Parts: sequence; C-alpha cells; structure tokens
Amino acid sequence: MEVISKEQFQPAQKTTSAEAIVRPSLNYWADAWRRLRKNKLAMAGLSILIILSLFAIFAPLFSSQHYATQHLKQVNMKPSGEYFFGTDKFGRDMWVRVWWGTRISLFIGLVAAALDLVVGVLYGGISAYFGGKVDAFMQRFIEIIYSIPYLLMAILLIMVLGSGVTSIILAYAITGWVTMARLVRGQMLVLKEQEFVLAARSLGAKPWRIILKHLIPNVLGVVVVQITFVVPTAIFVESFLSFIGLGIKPPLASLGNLLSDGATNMRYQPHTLLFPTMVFSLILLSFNLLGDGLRDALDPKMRK
Amino acid sequence: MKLRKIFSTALVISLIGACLAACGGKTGSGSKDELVINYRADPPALDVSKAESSAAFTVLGAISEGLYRLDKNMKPQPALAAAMPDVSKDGLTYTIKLRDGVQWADGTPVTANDFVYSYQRTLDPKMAATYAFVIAWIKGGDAVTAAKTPADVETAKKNLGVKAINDKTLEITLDHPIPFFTSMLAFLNFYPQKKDFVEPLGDKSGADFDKVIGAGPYKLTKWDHDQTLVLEKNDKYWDKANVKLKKITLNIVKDTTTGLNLYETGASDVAEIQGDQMTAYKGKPDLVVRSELTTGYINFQFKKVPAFANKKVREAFSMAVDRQALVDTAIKNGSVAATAYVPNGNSDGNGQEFRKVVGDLIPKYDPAKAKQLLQDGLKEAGLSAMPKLSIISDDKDTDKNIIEFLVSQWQQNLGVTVEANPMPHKNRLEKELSKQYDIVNTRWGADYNDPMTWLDMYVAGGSFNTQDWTGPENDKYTKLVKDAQIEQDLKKRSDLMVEAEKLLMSESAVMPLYFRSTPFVVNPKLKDMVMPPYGPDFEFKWAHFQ
Amino acid sequence: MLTYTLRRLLYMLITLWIIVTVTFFLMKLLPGDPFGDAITRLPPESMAILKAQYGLDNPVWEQYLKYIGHVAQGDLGVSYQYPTRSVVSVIKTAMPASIELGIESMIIAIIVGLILGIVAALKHNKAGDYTASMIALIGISIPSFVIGPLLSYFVGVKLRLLPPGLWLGPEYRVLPAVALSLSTIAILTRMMRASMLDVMNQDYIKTAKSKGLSTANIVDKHMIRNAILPVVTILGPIAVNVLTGTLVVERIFSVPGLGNQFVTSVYSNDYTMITGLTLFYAGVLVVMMFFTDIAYSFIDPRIRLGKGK
Repeated sequence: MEVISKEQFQPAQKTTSAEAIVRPSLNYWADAWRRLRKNKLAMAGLSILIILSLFAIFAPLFSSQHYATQHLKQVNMKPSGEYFFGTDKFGRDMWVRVWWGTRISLFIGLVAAALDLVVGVLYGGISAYFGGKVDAFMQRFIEIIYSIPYLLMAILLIMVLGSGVTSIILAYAITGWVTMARLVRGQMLVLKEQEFVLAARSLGAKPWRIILKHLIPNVLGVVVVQITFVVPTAIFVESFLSFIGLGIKPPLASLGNLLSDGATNMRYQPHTLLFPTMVFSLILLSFNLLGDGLRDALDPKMRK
Repeated sequence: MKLRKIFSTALVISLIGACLAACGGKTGSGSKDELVINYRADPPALDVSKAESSAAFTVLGAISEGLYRLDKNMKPQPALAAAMPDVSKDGLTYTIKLRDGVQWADGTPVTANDFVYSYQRTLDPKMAATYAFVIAWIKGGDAVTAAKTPADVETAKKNLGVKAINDKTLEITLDHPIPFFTSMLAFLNFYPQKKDFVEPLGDKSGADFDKVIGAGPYKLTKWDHDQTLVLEKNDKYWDKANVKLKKITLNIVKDTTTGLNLYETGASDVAEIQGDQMTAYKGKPDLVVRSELTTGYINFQFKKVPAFANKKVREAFSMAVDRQALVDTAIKNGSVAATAYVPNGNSDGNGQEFRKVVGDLIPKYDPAKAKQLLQDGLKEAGLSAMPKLSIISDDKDTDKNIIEFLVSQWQQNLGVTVEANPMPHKNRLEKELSKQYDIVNTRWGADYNDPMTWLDMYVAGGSFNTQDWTGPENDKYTKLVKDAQIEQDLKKRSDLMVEAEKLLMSESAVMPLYFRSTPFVVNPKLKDMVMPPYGPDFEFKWAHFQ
Repeated sequence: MLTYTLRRLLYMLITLWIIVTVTFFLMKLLPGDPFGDAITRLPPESMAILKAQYGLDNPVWEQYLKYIGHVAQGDLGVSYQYPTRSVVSVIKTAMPASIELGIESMIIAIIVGLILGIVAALKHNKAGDYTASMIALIGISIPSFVIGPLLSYFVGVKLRLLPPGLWLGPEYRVLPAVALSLSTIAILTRMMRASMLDVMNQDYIKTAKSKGLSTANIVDKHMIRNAILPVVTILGPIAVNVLTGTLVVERIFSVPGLGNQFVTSVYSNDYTMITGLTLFYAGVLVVMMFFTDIAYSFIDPRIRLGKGK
C-alpha cells in the first residue's frame, strides 16, 4: 500500500490573482468617456466645439467693437489687423458679428435642445411608464405630429408670431420634440423587460433604485446622442428661415443671417461669406462627429 | 451584378448630360431681332380692368395700347387716337377721333365702344378694380362704384360720362377738370377692351396667353407660368413699321445673383441687379439706372407717441439721419437722397419739374444741432426723455437694411433707442393704416405724373394721414390742396401745390428718405427700350438692336 | 394585414384633417387682410365686395366648415397674388418641374450615397472611411443657399460648363439636381455605412467567407443586398429633406417648381397659396409614409402583423 504522505494534503495555494478585477472599476459614464477619448474624430469635434464656444463667449467681451456699431467710412473692408474678419456693408466689425452670431445660433440650438429634452423625455417617459391605452393614444398623437412637414409649419408659425429668436425656438420646438419622445419611449420599453432590471428586482432592489441606477442612465445615453443631432438641426433651421427672410430681428446677428447676407454678396465681398460659413460648417461638422462618436461610445453593444 | 449595371448606366447618363451641356447652344440673343430678358415676377391677371402691378402694366403695355402712348420723354403721343384730343373750354369734355384702320390682334376693328365698355367694366363694383378710382374721374364714375344693386349699377353705367358718338369718335366728360388727363389716357387702365372676347371668359380673363387680346405692337404667344412669357410682333398693329423686334422672351428670374449670372453668360440681354453688383458695373456701358417716381419715407405717429406731436422732435429725428450715407451703404441701388417729398422727375402739372420749381427742403444732416433740437423739443413737450420706440417696416432686404441704418443713426446721433421690427408687407400695411405704430418705414409710388398724387395724402382726415397730423398748419395745408384741386389756371395750381409741399416739409410732418431707383444691366447694343419712371418697368415698342 | 392597412389609412386621414385645421386657424391668426395693396386705393364698399367674394365676411367657424368641405373636394381656393389662378392649378403647373428635379437629385444621391457608404464600411476606420464620411458631412455642414450660388457662379459663369440658371433643356437640370442631392447624399452615406457595418458582423457573412466565396461576390450578393433593406425606412425623412431643399434650390436656379412658388408666396404674403402648398406637401408626405410603412411591412415579415415592436 502506498503511503499517502501528509504533504499531499496541503491546502492549495491561494490564487487570488485569478479573481482580481484587473481593469479599474468604471461606471457607465466613465466607461463611455474612456471609449469616446479613443475616437479621434469625436474628440476633434468636441475640442472644436469647446474652442468655438469660448470664442463665442469671450471674443465679443474683449473686443472694443459692438456688433451693431456702424462705421460708415469703413464699409466692406477686407480682413486686417484692425478687423480680423473685415467689416460688412455698414462697416460693422465682422469678427464681433461672427462670434455674436455664433452665440445666438448656439443659444437657439441649445434652448431648442433643452425644450426637446424636457418635452420629449416627459412625453416619452409617461407614455412608456403608463403603457396600455394611454401609451396607444399618445403614440397615435406622435404619429400625426411626425408626419407634419415641420419646416412649413415653422414658417407659418413665424408668420403668425413675428420674427425673432423666441419665435424661431418655439417654431422648432413645437414639432422637434417628437423624435426625442419616440426614442425615449422605445428605449424605456426595451429596458423595462431587460434581464438586468429583472435581476435587480429579484435581488430586492427598490423601484426608485431601478429607475435611478438602471433606467435613467441607460435612457440618458440615447438622449445625449439625440441632443448632439438636435442642436445642429435647429441651427440649420434658423439659417434656412433667415434665407427666406424670416430670421432674427436686425441689427442682431446670427450665423444664419450672416450666411444669407454673405451668399448674396459672395462675388464682391467674399470675406462676408467665408468666415460665417467656416464657423457654421465647423459647428455642424463637430456636432455630427461628436454625435457619431457618442453613439458608438454609449452603445452597450460596443462594450467589450 | 444588377447594382453594377445601375452604376454604369448612371455613369453613361451623367456623361451624356455633361456633353449635352458642353455642346448645348446658348439661348441668348444670337439674332438681332430677338430680345431675352430676366423678369422678376410672373404677372397676375393680364386684364385691363384688374391690372395693378408693374408686371401686368409691362406685359399688357406691350400687348395692347391706349388712345395715347407715352414716348421716352413721358409725353403722350397719339396711338389708337388719330390726334390729340379736342378739349372743351371748361376742361371737362374730351372729344377724341380714333385712328383709321386700327384693329385688334384678331383683325377686328377697334371702335369707340370698346373704350366705353372698358371704362364701365373697370368701374363695376363686382370687379373691385384697384385703379377704378382713376376711371372714376369721369363724370358719374363714383356713382357706379358705389352702386348697391345690379340694377343700380346698370343705370349708373348708362349715366357715365363716356359716349361713343360713332364707331370712330369717343367723348369723355370729366367730373372736374384734370390738367394731366391726356397723359392719363395713356395709362393702362384706360386701354380699350373687346367685349365679345372678354365677356365669355368671366373671371378667367387674362389668365393665359390665349385669354388676352390687345391692339398693341406685340402679342402674347406663350405663357408658361412662373417660367417664360413670349411676345411676338403683331402684324395687325397700325404702326408695325416701327416695331423692330420679332420676339421678346421674358424669363422669370427671382434671384438677382442668378439673374446676373445669366446676363454674364449671354443668356439674357437685360437683368435687374442690386447692391454690390451695381458697384461692380459702375462706369460700364451695361449699367442703366431707372429712376422712379417713388419716395421712401418715415412717418411718426403723433398720438401714440406724444413727443412726435412736437415739431422740433420730428425735425431732430430727420436731421440726425445722413441720407447720403443711407443711399450709399444701406440701399445701394442708385436711389438718391430725398431732398423733399415729391420725387425728382415728377411734373408740376404745368410743364416743369416740380422738384426744380420748389428746390431743396430737407434739413441738412447735423448731429449736433439735431441733439440740441431734441432737447428743446422734449422741454417744450414737457418730457424728460423719449419713450421706448419701435420702427416697423417690410421684411425685404432693402427695408431691413434701411431700418438697421436708421436705428443706428438715431442711437449714435441722438442717443435714442429704437427697436427694429421688420414684418411681412401686409402686416406692415395694416399696422400703418390702422395707426398702430410709433415709427413706420414706408413708401409711395406715383399713380400719375402730377404732384397731386403725393400731396392729397395728408389732407385732414385723409386715409394716408396715418401720423394724425392735425392743427392749424394741417388746416392750412388742407386748404391749399383743396384749392389746387379745383384751380383751373395751371400756374396758380402749381403755386398752390408748391406752397403745400413747403408747409409739409417745414412742419416735418413726414420724413422723406430717398427717391427710389432700380439698377439694370442692359446689353449695350439694345437701343430705345424705355424704362418709364412709373407704371410699367419696360416699354418695348421702339426697342431694337444696333 | 388588412386591418393594419385600414388602421394606417384611418390615421392618415386624421393626420390630414389635423393639418388642415391647424393651417386654417394659423392662417386666420395672420394679421393683415389678404388683398395687399388694393387696400390703399379701394373704397370701403369695394373692399366689402372683395371680402364677400372670398367668403371672409362669414363667421370663422362657417369659413372653417366651408374650407374643410372644399379641401375634401380637392379645392384649395384661389391664389391672392394671381387672382385668376386657383391654388390647385398653380400646383399642377409647378409640380412637374419639382418632381423631375426631386427624382433626378434622388438618383444622384442614391448612387453617390450608396457608393460612399459602401466604401466607408469596407475601409472601416481607414483613410477611405474618413474621406467618404467627410464628403458626406460636408453635405450637411454647408447650407444649400451657399452651395447653390457657388455652383451657379463657378460652374455656370467662370467655367461656362453648364447654364447658371433657368429650366429649359436637359443641361439645365444638372446643377440644381446636384445642389439638391448633397444633403441627401450625406444622410444616405451614413445610413448605408452603419447598415453595412452591421451586416458585416453577421454570422452568414462569416459562413460565406468560410465557404471560400470571393470578396466581390460576398460584398455584392450578401452584404449590399442585406444592408440596403433598412435604408428603405428612411425614405420618409429623405423625402422631407428633398422637399425642403427644393425651396432653396429652385429659387436659386430659377426652376419653376413648387418650392420656388412657396418662397414667392411667403414673400408676397399669399396666404391661400401658403396654406394650400403646406397642405399639399403634408398630404404627399403622409401618403408617402403610409406607402413606405405598408411596403416595409411586406418586405420585413417581423412587422407584418402590426404587433408594434
């Protein structure tokens, strides 16, 4: 008989490293940020947006010029050391006007997005939360609003309300929230049925915890992505309305009215078109790049 | 595989397209007797009674003709009429012989009855014709427009002071003497209408190329709405020997940038331009500026803003605006700074130019004096400062530029803040006529070439006295205008109107800004196309290529 | 399937009714009367007659019922700027140019957009991807009212390749169609790229690869065909896009279409034209969406029963 030595009954060596969590523990947003940072295009978009916003905020503050001050002896000047972007037909400093315009356009975009967010999330949330008949009714209503050509409605509305920043925002928001509401509702409905919610529930999580920790963060992803598309759309709508003469009130500047003014004079005063177009395109481009990046970063399927 | 096929087909199509484009001929005027022009709008109804826009005046003026036609000096020349009218001593009765052999484009003769029918139709309240008021200068005209029942209308029409003595002789009796009435007979709404052509069409009259007939130098042979109108020489026209163009094509082009592009590629002989486009053409033979009998002006509402009831305050606002800079920077279309209310080129009703008779009546641009006047005026009115003001205006580019400019001038020169409030034309018009404004940027174009079309606007209770100008000065003004309306002696009449305008301006009751012009580029080889200062945009009859 | 179709049809009618109602009352809220400058020269009696002719002297609810009745019969009223032309006849005259322009721009957009999308997906995260995506993004970053005049001037005047405006022969179609297609190209490229990337990760592609099929064959037979399906769902938004694009492009290139007419009507405050055109556009969109939905339910069995998600 073989002797079984005591040595053979040593407890196994603890292999603690196998269970260790090597990667740093990241919550949803930190994880998304990590992935977003790797996306060069999206980061470029984000940086450009930050830079442009800083200019929009500070450039007019630090300039001796005001956007409405006319210098009738210095009209249509080419860009120079005194006027970085030249002057317009009234001798107004284009540098200040472009950044003021950026301010106004971003403001329109952001407020429109905020309205979208509030109305859309509430509507979509309520619709998904109550479900059943309420949901069915609210969905029908959305379907109807959705098929109204919003730009034409915006035009009618502005003709009624009169031109101005408020009208433009309202006209956009009145039909713009629908997409957001649809997205939020869809996402909520899917999430309600997901295993992790079930798991949380079976582990005894209280409803508020489920909503706070599981539903909202997951919906927020969709919402944030959507916002990065709403802002440029609203800015675009503003420029379109400016083109057909329903934009903001003079002498205020917006990128839209700078663009449409510039487009009529482009052959003779190219600088009045060039600079607003550059800023406008950069904003739209950046928002789109950032939006694409965010979508990839926030998409749970992409988590590895 | 299928996809590849689609792609290759598409490639071929685009290549063919590019080739067609490269090889495609220019539509511009190759031959010497065809004119191609850009036109800014599709005309509304081409109906003599309903015509009210310059687009309708332009096209109808080419298709048809009146008793007289204005030549390039705006003097009436016999057209369908054989000679100048016989006017009775009291200036009320006009007897006119028609030219022999004048006929409609379908070969039927034009008779005196066609004129009687035309005037009766225009006055008919059912037509609600905008320019019925000029026809209503004929005796009994107002009775027709005011008639309530169809029977009343018929009776009133019978009593109208226009008669066909025979097929060739027309007699018109006026309500009151009108010194410029012969010129009015050249105005579009006084053209004849062919009853058995117009009547069956009902409200479709003038809706298409085959629903309009005239007796003029050209006839309309094609009308693709919002795209193209084609005019061809009318062989039945009495003066066809002097009509040189075979064909005129009007392409509807609403964007001046595209319009100029078309001109520069030779696809058009005439294009309306604006702003910097005009600057670029300065000094070139292509540039033609049409000066119009149109004044752009500002009105202040005296009741809504009591400060404006003070003359010094109004004067201050007027003096604080550099009108030369306004036309040079904000308007930039060849318009000139206003020197009074009645525009340059307007007749004084006595054979002279009104503006030259009266002279310059606008206070000189003087910011310092303006500021002082404002202080004095406010003190007189017992106010410490101007209230918050807003200026309403149309929302077209030029108007927006004008109010941007004015707001800046008042801010910089007077320290007064005025909010710019552009709005659709109709809203502005309604607010203006219902007196719901502080300051309004508006304009007026002459209906006829006489100072009266301007001066009768501000009489007491007049519907255009929207600023509510009242008081002893207005009473005096009203008396001057009313006296001029009945004055038979042309010299005295002119003097009365001169006095009236001087009073209007010394009171600063309106604030004229500019006399409007429109710049065009025109093929330098095109000669004798007239651009009249009011009514139609173009007079094509004598146009020809060199 | 039948109930689904009927239900969609009912919603479509309700939608149209709501649009008619909203536009009608918005029009009533618009200040100013519709007759323009006639008001400055007409005596009050004639204004009253004019108002009676257009039925504007009746109470609003009566006008509303009448309007609904007329719209139901396909009568959208008479244009105020062209008193001899009904809104419907204006639409009929202007429609062919718009439809032609729309279709031509769609063809360009589909060809270019799909190619760019496919290239971007196949060269995922490589230079080709970035180039294609950037080209697409330019289409949505510069407004057509900037691109249009640039094209008209450089191609039309400077290079003399194509006419800078008007709508006469086939060569006149190229510039407006290209200008109009840019933003649609952008939408399609992104959609196609995403859809292709999705398909490329599917198991059947791996199967096809392991079977030894050539890359060209896989791309053509398996990837593109499956990737194109979801693109059908965005036909609605694309139609909206083309439609609003025509407003700008038609004006810039003097195309006698609906968009040009719409902008003119806005400029001249022709309220009946504006509401009429809005209704017409809305109607076209609603009907298009209806058919897209029905068509898609045929293509994709998962929604055929109309069970919602």
